Amino acid sequence: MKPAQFQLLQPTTRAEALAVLAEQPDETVILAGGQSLVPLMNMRFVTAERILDLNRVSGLGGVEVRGDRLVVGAMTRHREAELSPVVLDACPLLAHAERHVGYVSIRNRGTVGGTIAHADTVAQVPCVAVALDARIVLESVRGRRELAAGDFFVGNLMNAREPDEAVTEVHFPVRPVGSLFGFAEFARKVGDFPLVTAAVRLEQGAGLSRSARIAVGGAGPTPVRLAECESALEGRELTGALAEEVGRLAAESVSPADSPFVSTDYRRNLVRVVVRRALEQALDCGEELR
Amino acid sequence: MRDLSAYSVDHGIEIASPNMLGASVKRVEDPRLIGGHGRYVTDVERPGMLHATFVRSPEAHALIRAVDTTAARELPGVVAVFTGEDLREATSAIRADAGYPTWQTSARPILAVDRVRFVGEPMAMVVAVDRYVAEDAASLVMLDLESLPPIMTVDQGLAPDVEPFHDGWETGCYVTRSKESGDVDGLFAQADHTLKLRMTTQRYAAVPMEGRAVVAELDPHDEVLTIWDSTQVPHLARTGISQHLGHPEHRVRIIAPDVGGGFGLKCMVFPEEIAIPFAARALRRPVKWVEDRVENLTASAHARDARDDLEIAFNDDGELLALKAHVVIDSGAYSVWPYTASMELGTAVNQMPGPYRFRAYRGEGAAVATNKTPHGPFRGVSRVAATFALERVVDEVARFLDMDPIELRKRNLIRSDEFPWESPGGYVFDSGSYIESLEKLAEMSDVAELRRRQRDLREQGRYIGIGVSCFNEQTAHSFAEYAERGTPVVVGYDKAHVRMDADGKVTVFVDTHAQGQGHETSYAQLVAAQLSIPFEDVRVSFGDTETAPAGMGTFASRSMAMGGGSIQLATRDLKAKLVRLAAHMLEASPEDVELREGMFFPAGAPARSVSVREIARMVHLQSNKLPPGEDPLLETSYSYRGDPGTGTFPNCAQLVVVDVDPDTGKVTLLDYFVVEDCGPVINPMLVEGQIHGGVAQGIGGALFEHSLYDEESGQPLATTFLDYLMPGATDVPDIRLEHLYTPSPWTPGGVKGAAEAGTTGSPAAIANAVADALRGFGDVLVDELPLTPERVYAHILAARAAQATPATPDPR
Ligand SMILES: Cc1cc2nc3c(=O)[nH]c(=O)nc-3n(C[C@H](O)[C@H](O)[C@H](O)COP(=O)(O)OP(=O)(O)OC[C@H]3O[C@@H](n4cnc5c(N)ncnc54)[C@H](O)[C@@H]3O)c2cc1C
Repeated sequence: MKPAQFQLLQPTTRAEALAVLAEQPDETVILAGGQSLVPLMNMRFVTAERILDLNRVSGLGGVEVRGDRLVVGAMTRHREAELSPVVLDACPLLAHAERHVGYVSIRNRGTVGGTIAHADTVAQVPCVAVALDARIVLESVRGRRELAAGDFFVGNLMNAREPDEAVTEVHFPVRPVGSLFGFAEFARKVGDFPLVTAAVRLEQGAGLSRSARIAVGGAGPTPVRLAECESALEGRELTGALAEEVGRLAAESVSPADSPFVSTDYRRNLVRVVVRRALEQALDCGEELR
Repeated sequence: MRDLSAYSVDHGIEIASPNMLGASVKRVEDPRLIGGHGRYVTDVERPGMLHATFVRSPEAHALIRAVDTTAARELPGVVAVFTGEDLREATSAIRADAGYPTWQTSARPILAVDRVRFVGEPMAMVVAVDRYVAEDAASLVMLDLESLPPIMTVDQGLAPDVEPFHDGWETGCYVTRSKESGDVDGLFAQADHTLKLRMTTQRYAAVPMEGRAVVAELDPHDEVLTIWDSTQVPHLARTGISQHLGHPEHRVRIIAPDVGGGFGLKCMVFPEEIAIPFAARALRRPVKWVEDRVENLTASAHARDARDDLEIAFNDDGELLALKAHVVIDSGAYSVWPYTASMELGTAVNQMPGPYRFRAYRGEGAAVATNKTPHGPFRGVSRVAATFALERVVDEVARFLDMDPIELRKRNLIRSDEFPWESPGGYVFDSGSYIESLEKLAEMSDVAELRRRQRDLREQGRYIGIGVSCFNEQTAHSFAEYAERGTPVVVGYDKAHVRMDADGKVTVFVDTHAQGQGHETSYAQLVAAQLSIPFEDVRVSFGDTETAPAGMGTFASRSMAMGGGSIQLATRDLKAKLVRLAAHMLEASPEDVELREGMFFPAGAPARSVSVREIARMVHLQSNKLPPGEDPLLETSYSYRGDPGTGTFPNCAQLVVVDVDPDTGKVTLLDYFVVEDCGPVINPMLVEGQIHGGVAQGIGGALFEHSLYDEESGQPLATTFLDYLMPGATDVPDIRLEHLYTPSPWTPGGVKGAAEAGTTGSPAAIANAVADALRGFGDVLVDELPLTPERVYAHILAARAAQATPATPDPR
């Protein structure tokens, strides 16, 4: 369990990093927190001639609000996204979901950009990103572009990044005043990777829900928005019964793959449960607002 | 019939400082281990040391056409690449044969030749300047394999037309067994009821924090091979390695430094432990190999994997009459040295009747070869699965009769005035507190209140379950057990050497190594208690065959009874000499000499005294003053054998409260109670640590751990901690523990083994608790581990479906 030989490149500026990446994009792998990449390298599932370490690049971390967006630098550690008052205020759903990512020691190292780029369908942050229609900022020596999260994730552990691009920022919409949110997951143990996740956010007018956003992860190759569930909530009062109804609808609208440890049917049931639970949390946070 | 006239053995041990026993003395090893100063095999660095890695079979079953090492050899930094052919002559294949008449032998080459039989089997060994280069080269070794269909289930292995698994085999089993006592058929015919159930315990593994690790170095001057080995059994390792390497034992030295957990995994001798010294000898350079986690989870050994068909005969009033057990063990691809592939089956067949007063018993079964990692010992060998099976069946009997499960057990358990008890499985139970421990458990957990709470919470839609298990288990096995199995090594004694130096301080040399148990502390307590010297004046030494007496090492909860027993008896003999010398110096007769706080004095005249230290000084430095007939020697050795009987039998009862999530089937443990009786306790803190860790490991088996395979391809699926789930701190509830102290009539100090009870009883208790919770949904049978959320949820769905069907009559 030792990685194959590689060259370690440690630039200190964004421009240098992008230049290094542009030299041999196909032979270069980006290292962020290393919490996913290093095990893969140790098992030689990933072998790369060049490792581009972003840890010394200045200006890639940190969170700030710009207009109606919360801008999260790619190298922001999970732990910062979890605890930052800025995040808690502007996008509490993200902070809330971050609490479930691995263990504290993992969150101290792993990054928001890393988990987005890694594109694991069961990962919490990508699920939130899809639910909120977050924007993924990609930069290369050729320039800068933005992709919607739903377009960025193209398969389990696969994204739409070009080899010479780095994820530099992730933009989450700032929470509309009074909106409700919830995040639920099912993991076999505390801190373990979840089997499924659900993230919801909705607004309320005169006690009725509108503009609901619901995404689930782990039920297919990428986290997905559930349009039917969202419209089922539109204009209705959110109650426990409605949460259960939408959970059932969610379960019917996904077709997760069978795996040796988890069957399709069971995963589908979990989708029902986590969607319901995420909505119940939204309900609770509605109570709190009142 | 056995001669049990020696029911009580007086070892003539007198304790001069009773406060040293039963005291939670802080572990002397902790400043080292907790402070990060432990020294493990990984820490061993030798000048010029090379690093090895193994090329392992990617297939479950295949013929080896060729192993091409050309490209690997050419890689800069590679020193050698060895294949099975290279080792075929220089080493001998591991044959671990049991003596049963039905036994079929298997030969396991150190590196595979001709055929591979499981994914992970070592096929070639690359030795290079570092592990990185070694692994680079390993990926260049070309394997030409011809795939064969693998045997992946016991049913495939039991099929009459199965292909011979090993050369010359006539069936697919290493061994079959049967034993019978009492009128089984008669009792079954006359019983009011019989119940037949199948209980399945999954394959999982010991998974110590530190995996296996070996460094070997040959001294060119005297051809002594020094082997740093992460082992529980330094002398057995020496014998095993010597034998298979053809290097004489007196030129093999094993050093087992700090060992980061063993749990039975490291009491075997593995091919890698022979291959690494082979390379060091062939290359005349030190060679190191440290197992990684993938190797540990796929290529060391697995355990459990038992399918138990139990049939029980009982009466309306709850009397259990007779038991039939058919045990099938999935023993994997090879028989492990020295316990053999008969171990799990043999003990299961003997153990199955448990602590109950069955009047008749028939036990039989088979150990089946499959294309999986070999099956080896792991904390709670066979008892974990057997206790799960039997205790589930007993609970189902209680349910059928609508009796309280604790009451049903109490009326059938062996009473404390009935020992020694010859069990129909062939064991002699030395002593115990089976009923008392259950009573204490009911009391400490306030089970009546728990039941009330369960009903209240049920009304709130929660599914709480309460489960109990009780059991006894063989520990510190005497010769009888291994002689019956006819294993290559008949375990049943251990040795100690006790030496007092001129300053009156003592060093104890033993072979029962510690891998976390705290022997440096508890063994010192034993000596300090008898000699009445300060605890700090005793040092315990083990882990080096150059200094430790040759013994059997640590496994099967034997260290306190066997290692500790030999320490107590060697200390007794040392003390006898000190008493004689004190009498001489005090001009008193030895019978009149008393010892207190390190001082000898004539009875009734404490003013005249001589200290232990003064005697030691005289013996070593002024031996001219010794009385005639006494040598200038303060060293004693003792080899204690656990006769009479078949080992010593601690007992334990556990009660657990679970919460089952009706939406997902996830099981949460709310409360955990244990009453354990391992006889008099030397250091309660250490015993509690053993129980806590044991329960945690049992929780792993009950809920999480599973060495799952793909049955088509034979590929292991749980190869990292991503898929092999271990319990963590948040998965283990607070454990409330109480002790009972029933001495063994046989062992020195009456001690019994304490290390396995936590593990042995917890899957059974948890499964019973889950079954109890599921009764809230309807009629389901909890019959298979682990109780993953998906499996429990399937039970919930089945129960609901059954209830929805109106035709199902269910009066209960
Ligand atoms: C024990 C354990 C438990 C864990 N539990 C969870 C969990 O419950 N949920 C969860 O979501 N994750 C979990 N993780 C993974 C962890 O969250 C990782 O931090 C995260 O998945 C990747 O972030 P990273 O910064 O460590 O990325 P790295 O491991 O450094 O990189 C991951 C991948 O992303 C690429 N990459 C990284 N940064 C960029 C970038 N800026 N631009 C382009 N590509 C980039 C890398 O090349 C690599 O392919 C766990 C990890 C461990 C070890």
